[in-house]
Amino acid sequence: MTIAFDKLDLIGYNPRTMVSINSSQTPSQLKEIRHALQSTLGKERVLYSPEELIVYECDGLTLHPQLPEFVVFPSSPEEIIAIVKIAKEYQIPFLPRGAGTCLSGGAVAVEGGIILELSRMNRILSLDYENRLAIVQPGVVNLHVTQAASEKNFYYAPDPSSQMVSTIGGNVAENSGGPHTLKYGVTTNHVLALEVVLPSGEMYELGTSAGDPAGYDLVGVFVGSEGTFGIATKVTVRLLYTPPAVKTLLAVFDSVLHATQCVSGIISRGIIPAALELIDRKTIEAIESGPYATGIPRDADAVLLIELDGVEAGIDQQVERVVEVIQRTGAREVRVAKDEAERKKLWAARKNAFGAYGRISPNYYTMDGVIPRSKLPEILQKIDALGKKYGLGMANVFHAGDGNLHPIILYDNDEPGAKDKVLGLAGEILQLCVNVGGALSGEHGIGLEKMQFMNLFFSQDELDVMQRLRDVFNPNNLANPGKIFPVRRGCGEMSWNPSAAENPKYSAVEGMIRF
Amino acid sequence: MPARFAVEGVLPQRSFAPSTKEEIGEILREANSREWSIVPFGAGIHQHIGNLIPRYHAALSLEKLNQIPEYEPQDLVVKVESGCRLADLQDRLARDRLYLPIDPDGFEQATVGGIVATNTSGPLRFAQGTIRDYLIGISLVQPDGKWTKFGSRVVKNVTGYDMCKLYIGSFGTLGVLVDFFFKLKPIPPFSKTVAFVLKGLDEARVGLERLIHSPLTPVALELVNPEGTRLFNEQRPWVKDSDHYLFLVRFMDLEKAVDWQVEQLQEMWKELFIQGVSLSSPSEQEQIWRLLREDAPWLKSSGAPKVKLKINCGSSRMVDCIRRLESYGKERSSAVLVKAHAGSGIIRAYYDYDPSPAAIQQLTDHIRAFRIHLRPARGTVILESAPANLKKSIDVWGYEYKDKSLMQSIRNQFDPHKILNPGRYIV
Repeated sequence: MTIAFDKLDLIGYNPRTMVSINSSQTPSQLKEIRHALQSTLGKERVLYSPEELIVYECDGLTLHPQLPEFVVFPSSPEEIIAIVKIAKEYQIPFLPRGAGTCLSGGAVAVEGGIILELSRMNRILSLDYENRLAIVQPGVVNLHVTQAASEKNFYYAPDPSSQMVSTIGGNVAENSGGPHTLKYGVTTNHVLALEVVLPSGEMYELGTSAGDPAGYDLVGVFVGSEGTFGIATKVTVRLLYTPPAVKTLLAVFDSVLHATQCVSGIISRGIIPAALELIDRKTIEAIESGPYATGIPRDADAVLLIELDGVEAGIDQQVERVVEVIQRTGAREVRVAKDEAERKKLWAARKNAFGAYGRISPNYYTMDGVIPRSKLPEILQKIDALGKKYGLGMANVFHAGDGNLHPIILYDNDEPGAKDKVLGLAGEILQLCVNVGGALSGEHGIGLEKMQFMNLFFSQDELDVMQRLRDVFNPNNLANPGKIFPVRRGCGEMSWNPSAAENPKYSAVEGMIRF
Repeated sequence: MPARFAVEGVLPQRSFAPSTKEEIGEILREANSREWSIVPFGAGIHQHIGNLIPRYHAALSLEKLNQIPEYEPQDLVVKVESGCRLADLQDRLARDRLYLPIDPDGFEQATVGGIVATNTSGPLRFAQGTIRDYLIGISLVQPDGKWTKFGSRVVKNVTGYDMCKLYIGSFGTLGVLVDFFFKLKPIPPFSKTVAFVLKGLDEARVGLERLIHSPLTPVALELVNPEGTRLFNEQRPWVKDSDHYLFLVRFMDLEKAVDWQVEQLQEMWKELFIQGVSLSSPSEQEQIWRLLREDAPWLKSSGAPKVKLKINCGSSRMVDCIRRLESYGKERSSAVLVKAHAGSGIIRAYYDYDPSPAAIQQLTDHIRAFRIHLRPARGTVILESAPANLKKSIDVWGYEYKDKSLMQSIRNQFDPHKILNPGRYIV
């Protein structure tokens, strides 16, 4: 799940003092590149002056701003090939960018170079209901696919919270999730085929919509490769028939522990809801103070937002079974949305939760971690204790059914040392996730944000294997360099040091994140 | 040397049955230094897929790695070793009313490692997907002997590249798969199967289109041709008239939801079929679905050796492709049995094998023409089962798309000495 960057906090710093041009190209080479780009696209589709580039210094992750040398606006696969060939000729990095809602820094030109802004490639090329698929350009907004296919009652299932702005190309790069992935799966389960341009400047078709693909699953590895393999120029996605019956429930709990027990209770009863989201007290407070207030009791410790879907016959029986579990796990109250308007209101509250934190805290940092769902009660308690240890406020709103946590660290950047504390706490939370068999990211990606944590999860041999795979697609590391893999600079920057985390006074951040 | 390690009739010089990943690592390091060629073995039931093996030194059997080391019914996640049989896994899961919702050919004997390596799937794929949708963690010994693991027991994970995908359908060419984490699903409480005897093949097209534009959610949707229908009736007289195409549809859900959907479908298709047989007894349904899922009864239907093709064409081209297959049979007065995952656009066709050079020439011409026909759709025609003589005359995979060069680079990158299944795969 990603959200629009304009709704995010800026982990306060002044971009103008932090940003520098990063290129290894000489001024005369940059001039040549500029001319080459301009002669391909025309002057108006090539940005290169710092004041125009500043918008592109970061995406939803604001910690590591970096100006690209160029931002270009291609409108066809042929133009993308031409740009990539220029990048190859001058050995300058390049990366694609959709709506820039990535929360892990995937669209930041950390080593400078050319950003290919794909918003002009926003055509839906085909809606093929007979084969239940849509073929779209990468700049198409996620929600627009569903809107277009709704003429025949079809929809595109993955629904990141950013879906009103985020693009299919970005979703492919990040393998985006969303609330309804519990039942329907994430982006990779819905992408059948891709047309891609690799750093060689060659175009390839990967996968197929004609039955099973043969050979290695290149679509499977390209999805979620965070722009480090190349640029998707055409995406074939699966369409599903919209379930005619949907029921949305809100279960109110006096204890977040009971809410998490309810999550396990529902799943272990053999019910897979379409969505199962947990919203905690702090988040309720934020939502209820804002424009998306829906009347959730402010004194509740947690609520669960549960959605069931299917055919009309039998849906009430599903609801009954879920209500039974909710009541057995000690809920104070359970409401079933009476109509579509009430249902939409509940979802608007959930999907805009991140924006609401601004009302209760000057700054906040949205994390993403994933754990086995049966560990939810244990981990939420531990995260709470960690927040107290660091003296930082915490909120939680997350995909409970998937065990996909989004702890929100609330802080005030004007307090000295706040950023160090936030990053120290974040590191400990990730370590907790990994300790119980979890992983570093459920849906936001590694990008710049978590690359220095990768060795918590992978051995050097495993990182090597992944880099060898990247080398097949991107042998000179021109496509989105400086992402995913730990940077080996000084040994202090090599890795996250758990012993440092034990003592927040020790500046753990030195070891993990470059400012 | 046990005959079960034969590949296309060729026996290896030796076999290994390691019981740890460290032993596998040693074997692979040795293989690299001596340039051995190794064939990883599960149950061996899908070893007939692939080109002829040019050199075969050793079978590496995973029979001793057959445990279920971790199982969390509450989390709907299981960790299982490569050599564990799918049937044994399903038995264990069924005690908690859970299952891994895949039903591939060779269901009783196939190992989970073999299923991942070959990416086999069955009729349930229409609604439940394939092993790709359930594999969330994998550990394997790389061709150079190093042990690596990717993914984990969590159901949603974007930590690094999605390496699990690389090994699915890689036919043992990128490493020896050791164990897996799978997501699980609850077994639906009720199931019903309806067999529709269709008036003709055009009715299949119309029926499919109506179903796609409806809210009905069958879990399986299979089409068989009249030769296939006769195979069904040989087992038991399911239908009155076996000279017709048969559509087999299965629903699994709450009883109320299943009954409503069956009624809706019968109404929606009412002028398309001449007889509809509805079955709700689990044993009767199992008999039908076993026949659809398993290849053995189709390969053995006439006693004569058979050739099996897998045609990946997509739903919209399926009827056209079935006509193409049947007209080839009619021209030669030889029956072609057809069964298709109708909703997924995948056809299996079974031909009688005629070993004469002229017949082999005709058949290989037919396959090549078929491949060219499906090229614009990026379809494939794979010779899944064939006598060695036929395999000598045509490439089994026929994969001639541009991305083959990327696959070749991956293969070279990870198995530079070609110690794993050399010559048998696409690359």
